[in-house]
Amino acid sequence: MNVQRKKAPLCSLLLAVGVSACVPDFDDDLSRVAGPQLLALRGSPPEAKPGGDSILQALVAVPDGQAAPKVKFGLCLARKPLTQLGPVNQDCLAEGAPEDVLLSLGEGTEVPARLPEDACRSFGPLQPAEEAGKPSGRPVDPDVTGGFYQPFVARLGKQVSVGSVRIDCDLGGAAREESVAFRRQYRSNENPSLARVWRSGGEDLDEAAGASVKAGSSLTLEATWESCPVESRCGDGACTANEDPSTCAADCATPHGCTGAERYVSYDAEKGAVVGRREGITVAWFASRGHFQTEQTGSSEEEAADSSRTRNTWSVGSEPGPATIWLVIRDTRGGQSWKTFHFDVTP
Amino acid sequence: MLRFASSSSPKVSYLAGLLLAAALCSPASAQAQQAAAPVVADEAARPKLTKPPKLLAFVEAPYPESEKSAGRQASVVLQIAISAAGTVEQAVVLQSAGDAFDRAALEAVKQFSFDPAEIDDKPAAIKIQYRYDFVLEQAAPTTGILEGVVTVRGSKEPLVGVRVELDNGVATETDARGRFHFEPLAPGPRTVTLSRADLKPLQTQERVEAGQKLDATYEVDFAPAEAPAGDDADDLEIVIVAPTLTKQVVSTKVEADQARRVAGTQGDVLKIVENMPGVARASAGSGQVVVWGASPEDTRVYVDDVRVPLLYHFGGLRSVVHTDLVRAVELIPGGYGASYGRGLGGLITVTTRDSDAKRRHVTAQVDVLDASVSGSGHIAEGWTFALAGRRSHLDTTLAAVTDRDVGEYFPIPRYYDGQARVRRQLGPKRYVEVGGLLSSDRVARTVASSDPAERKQETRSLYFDRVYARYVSTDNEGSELHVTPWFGRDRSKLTARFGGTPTELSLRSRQYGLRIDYVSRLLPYLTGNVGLDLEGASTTLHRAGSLSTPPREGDARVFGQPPSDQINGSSWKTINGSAAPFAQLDFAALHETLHVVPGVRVDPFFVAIDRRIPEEGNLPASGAYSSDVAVQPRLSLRYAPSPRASFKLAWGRYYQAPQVDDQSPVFGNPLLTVAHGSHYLASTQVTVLPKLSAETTAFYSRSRGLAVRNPALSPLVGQALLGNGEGRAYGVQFLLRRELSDKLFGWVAYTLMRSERRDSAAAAWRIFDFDQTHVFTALASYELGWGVDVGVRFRYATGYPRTPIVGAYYDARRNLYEPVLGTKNSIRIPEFAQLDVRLSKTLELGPSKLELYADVQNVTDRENAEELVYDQKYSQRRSIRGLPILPVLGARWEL
Repeated sequence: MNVQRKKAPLCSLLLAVGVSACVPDFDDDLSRVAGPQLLALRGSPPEAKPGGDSILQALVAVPDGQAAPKVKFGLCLARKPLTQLGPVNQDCLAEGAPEDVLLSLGEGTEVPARLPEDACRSFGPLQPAEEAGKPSGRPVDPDVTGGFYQPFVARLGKQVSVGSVRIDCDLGGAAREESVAFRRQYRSNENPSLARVWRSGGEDLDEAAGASVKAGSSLTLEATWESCPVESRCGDGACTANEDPSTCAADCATPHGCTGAERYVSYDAEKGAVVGRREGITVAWFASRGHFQTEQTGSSEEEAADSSRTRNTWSVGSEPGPATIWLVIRDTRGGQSWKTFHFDVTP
Repeated sequence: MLRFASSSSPKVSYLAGLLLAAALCSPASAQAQQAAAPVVADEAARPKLTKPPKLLAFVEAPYPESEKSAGRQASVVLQIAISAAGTVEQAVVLQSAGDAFDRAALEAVKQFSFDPAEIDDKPAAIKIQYRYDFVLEQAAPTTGILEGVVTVRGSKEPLVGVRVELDNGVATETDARGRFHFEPLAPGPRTVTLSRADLKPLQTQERVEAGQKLDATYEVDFAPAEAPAGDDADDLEIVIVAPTLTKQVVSTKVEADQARRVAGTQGDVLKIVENMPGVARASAGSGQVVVWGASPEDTRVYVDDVRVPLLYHFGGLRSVVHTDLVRAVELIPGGYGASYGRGLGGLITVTTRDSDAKRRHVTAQVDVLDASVSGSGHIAEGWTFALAGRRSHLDTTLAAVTDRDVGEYFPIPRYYDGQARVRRQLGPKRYVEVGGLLSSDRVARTVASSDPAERKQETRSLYFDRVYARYVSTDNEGSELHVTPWFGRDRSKLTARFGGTPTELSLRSRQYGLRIDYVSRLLPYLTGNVGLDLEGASTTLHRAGSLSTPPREGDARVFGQPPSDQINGSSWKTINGSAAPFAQLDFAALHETLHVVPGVRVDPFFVAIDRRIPEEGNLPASGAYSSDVAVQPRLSLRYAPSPRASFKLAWGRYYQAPQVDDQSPVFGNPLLTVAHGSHYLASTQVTVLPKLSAETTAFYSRSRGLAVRNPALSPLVGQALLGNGEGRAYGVQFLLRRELSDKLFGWVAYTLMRSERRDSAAAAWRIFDFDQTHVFTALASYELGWGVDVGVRFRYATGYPRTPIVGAYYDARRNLYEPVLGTKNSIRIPEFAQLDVRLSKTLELGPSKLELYADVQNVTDRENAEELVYDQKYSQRRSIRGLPILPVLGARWEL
């Protein structure tokens, strides 16, 4: 959403009483895909233990009629210094970075990757290995969900994107009983998934079949994802906290999570306790024609228990022709998936 | 007969005697005076004069008054018959100069006595001719005159009955016109003491020159106990000037009426500080005071010797002390003396004004920003009070003009403050008072969105209060003792949420302080200043969120960049303090034209913290204690070869304890050490015209041990910050100022400056975040008459430096773009230029006054850039526009 657009009408009035300065309006629109663009990067599975495998996948949006360039993947091995604010050491962004900084993984829309054995020390809660004569350094700070991530870089032409695979690490700096409790209750993340996408008040959209829409019209779309159980219950289809193959074979014989807003636990270092949480879910909307009213919608972690549905309005544009929209669903633990729908914009 | 000459002037009589003796004893002289050749009495015997008579006792003839008054001079030629015993037997006039001169000369010479002449080696009688010269000689000046006038500071009203006493014990009192006169006075330096029961004693040095009249003007303040009831007693006054005895090297003085009329201040006299040379122009709404390239937190603020955490409320709209209670503010950008310390930057001291001991005064003021009231005056005999309060109503004002929730987009400052004081006068020059002040600020901003990642919420608050007692004693010699113990609380809290990333920083602190300051003139040429500056604090802090939020100076970031979602949390407690004794001497030399002021301050810093490393499992907390004794020498020199020119030099060492919020074991470093720095400055001041002066100051400061982020890939635990940073700032400032005269005053201030930082001694220097190359301020105010004043102000300033963006990459996990930054602080916000105008009209309403004013900022509606912002992909850059044309209308009523 371009929040700045809403500020403009009020600007003069507020300035007249000296409240604040005035923020300029930009005409950028993240929902519009004008050329080949990388819209999402994920690991499948999205979370793995050090030394574990994950398939790195990219969603490359290519407007109708354009060719898709290749995506080059690399695993970033360099830890980020505290003086850099982004998610990755900027040395990994440089083209031609050395292999001990950026390990090349190959090209394509998906490549296999194996997490480094020391991922929890380089990017996780464990202190880095001691160097000769020096004490161990500081662990990496977790994200807001208590997670740690192995970064990887994807290049699409000159576009550089950074994705990540969540690392399943033991707790660092926690009391033993909390570590045990965490390990007993924590379940690796599952990539979320869009269960349905449909025209508001109309039929479901089909990725394969496509649909038609009138030029100049606005289309309200709704999307939903799986509603995950609020409480752990054997037989609910998700192997969740306190469940394992011995206590709930039905859910955990083949462990899998929920593809919606999952419940999970994280360690609250300030409280010194493992606390229960629920993922937030967002859906990013992209279109090759027109624009979406809001670039991203969804539910925060606080709202996730009450909602598994979102909506947005697509202003189709006045020009007839083929159009594509992409919906990317993300959970707050780094899981992602997407759907693509094709339209025929008719006069 | 011999001929001699003499003069009637007493000043030359001894010399005349010598000449006489020389004439008598020297044959050459006798030969030379042919007409005075001796005439021997018995010429037939032709005896030989073997020894001429010698005048032993000369008696000066009184100058005839009639002739003296007529200005006549003359010479009387006499014949004197000298006996063999040396006495004058007879004297007759040979050449008259008039009866009065003749009689005077005859009477005088008859009293002469001689060593008798010898003829043929035997004493003998002899007759000589003697010319007695009556010469009116102008005496060489050996004394001087000191006179002058004593007036009330500000109103210029003459003061009668002021005792003016010199160091030789001579004293007089001023007359009805406030004038006094001393004559004659031996030349040299004189200590002048002014006193009256209701006045603050003033002692100063003057230099009396022989043959010259020194006309001095003394402006004095009333002591609170017996202040006269005058209309001007409540005049606001701002004095940016050195103390009476211990002058700072760089000082500027602004009269009250001038400060109030400066455009752009909305009548808040403390906002004049923003217009002083050496002070950078703060970003709109920041309220920061950046002095000589120092960080805002490095400049310390005191109100009546009590340290307060800030000078302005959030947004910089108002100062935290009510205008009507301010008597003086002193801004010392650097190089200050030993009585203050613990800061690497400048020093701002605010002095509250004394209350009128005979009347009560009430004021009320309201404009679109806030409303305030104040009262002061007497309570009972010897008791006075002062009270003031203010509260913002901008939120209400906005609600009246729009039904939208403006707080959704814009932080609206909400503030209040109050001050109270009761004073008991113990004597003419002694009082004790208790008082307090408090201030509260809060801003909140909320941005709602259907996108959880775009929801933003931020709340900042700061509350502080202070309670103090104060004892002040002054004696007639000008010695002054201040004792101020104080206690206070600081509470600040920042809570923010940017998307799902929380930020919290809260601080609760108890502050303790004691200042003892004694100034005395030890010798006529030596002034001493000793004291104790004690401060301590017990602070509890909590911080949660990203390591880089809130950002700190030097961070590679851009405005509006979402914070990192990597978070942590920490709670810690600190106890820190220092009890610093200080001493300073002021040596005066070269007839008070040279002052050498050495000083020293010893700050024994100590810090105790309850956690040295982050909480980890069940491990017990391990604290840390550190101390450091900082010896800080200071030296300043002032040389004024003439009343119109002076030169100043200053140097000093300064130390500053680490900020308590930098001592987190997670976000900072509990073991940060004390930072230190040096100030160097040189200044000249020239009075171009009687009301026009020019001052130029060059400065250089160097600091080390500044807290900076740890650049290591794997910093050690508890070392997110390191004390390796260094800073330097240098530049020159210029002030051309016209004092109030012919209803006009104003000044032009310009500062050319560069401030730099580096993260370690091995790193390259980079431009400091608050560097401003050029800061120019010109302001003027003119009294049009009929109670109408008009003021204008023009400001120009280079924009603050910013780091350019050279690219961006996509963070697929968070669905946002991150910037790739170029060379740190290598571009700048466009320059700022603004013209402000103030117009006021004062109406007399019986015993009260009503002032209506319009303070219009940015009258040309120039689109000034306040910050650089980028689109979401960091591919477009634009500027946040500053204030458009902004009229602030208000009224002030005074009784």
